Amino acid sequence: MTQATFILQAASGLDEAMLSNDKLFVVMAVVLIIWFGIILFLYRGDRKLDQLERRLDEQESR
Amino acid sequence: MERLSMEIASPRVRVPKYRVIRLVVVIWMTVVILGAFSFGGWVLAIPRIEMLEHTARNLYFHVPMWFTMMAITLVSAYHSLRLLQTGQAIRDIRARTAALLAVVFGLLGLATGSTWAHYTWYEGTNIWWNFDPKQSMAAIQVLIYGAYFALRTALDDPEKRARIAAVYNLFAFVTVPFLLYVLPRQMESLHPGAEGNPAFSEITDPIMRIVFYPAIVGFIGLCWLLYTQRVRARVIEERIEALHQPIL
Repeated sequence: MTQATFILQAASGLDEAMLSNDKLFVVMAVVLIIWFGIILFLYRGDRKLDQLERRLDEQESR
Repeated sequence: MERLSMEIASPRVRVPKYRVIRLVVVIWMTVVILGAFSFGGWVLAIPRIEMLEHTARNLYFHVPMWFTMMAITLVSAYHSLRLLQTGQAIRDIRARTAALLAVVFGLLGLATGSTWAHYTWYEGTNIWWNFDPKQSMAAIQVLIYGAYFALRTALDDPEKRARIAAVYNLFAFVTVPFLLYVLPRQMESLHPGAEGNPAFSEITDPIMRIVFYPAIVGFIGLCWLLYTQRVRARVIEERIEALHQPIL
């Protein structure tokens, strides 16, 4: 058995789920990846604002 | 009226509260997405309707764009009203940011609706824009909010701009229920709710409500996060400007 077929068989449970229902869950996976990317971007933006506010607080208190 | 820039620092965004809501929205929307795609072997089986097929799920994404737009125009109008009452510069920042998000969600609503209709009701045709009453009125609504920004760029004095923009914004808000609700319902349309029908179509399976209503809440929450982030950034900008002004 080649390694590729072995991996394929090992992942068959997931594959079966992903290919069922007209492959709808593939779309769900894609949307979730995009959504997690947006969350990351949102959190990073907030962190940047936190830093800016801290710097401004320091400067204003001078 | 006191000088606008003097009061900018007073009511700031409450960051700890924001962080809590951010976490709630992130988890909430993830569950909504999982719910939107679940059916068959899973919990929420939605009926397969000829022509619509899986695109019925667009109900969870397209329609909340409009609910979100209406919610954020309400926020925008509230802050415009408060600006006229108090003259606080933060009200102008909030009203403007909310109006910007109203335009964003309006455009998303138009784009998603157009895409949905093209591959279902207008499948096999070349129609992307069909002058459905709701579609046309929504486009006018987005233009009305677009004009708010055109008006702002035409005014140089910050105090005058804040006040005139607030008055215009209140007018813009008054048109929302007419353009998005009253008028489209008087005409023939492929949207449910046309010609006096209930807004939720009778062919829509009630099970879809389980995801639909949370999706509305989730998208409004997401919009609120983006809005708050923008407001914070604007306040920081104003504070930097104030730092660079010579102290009298």
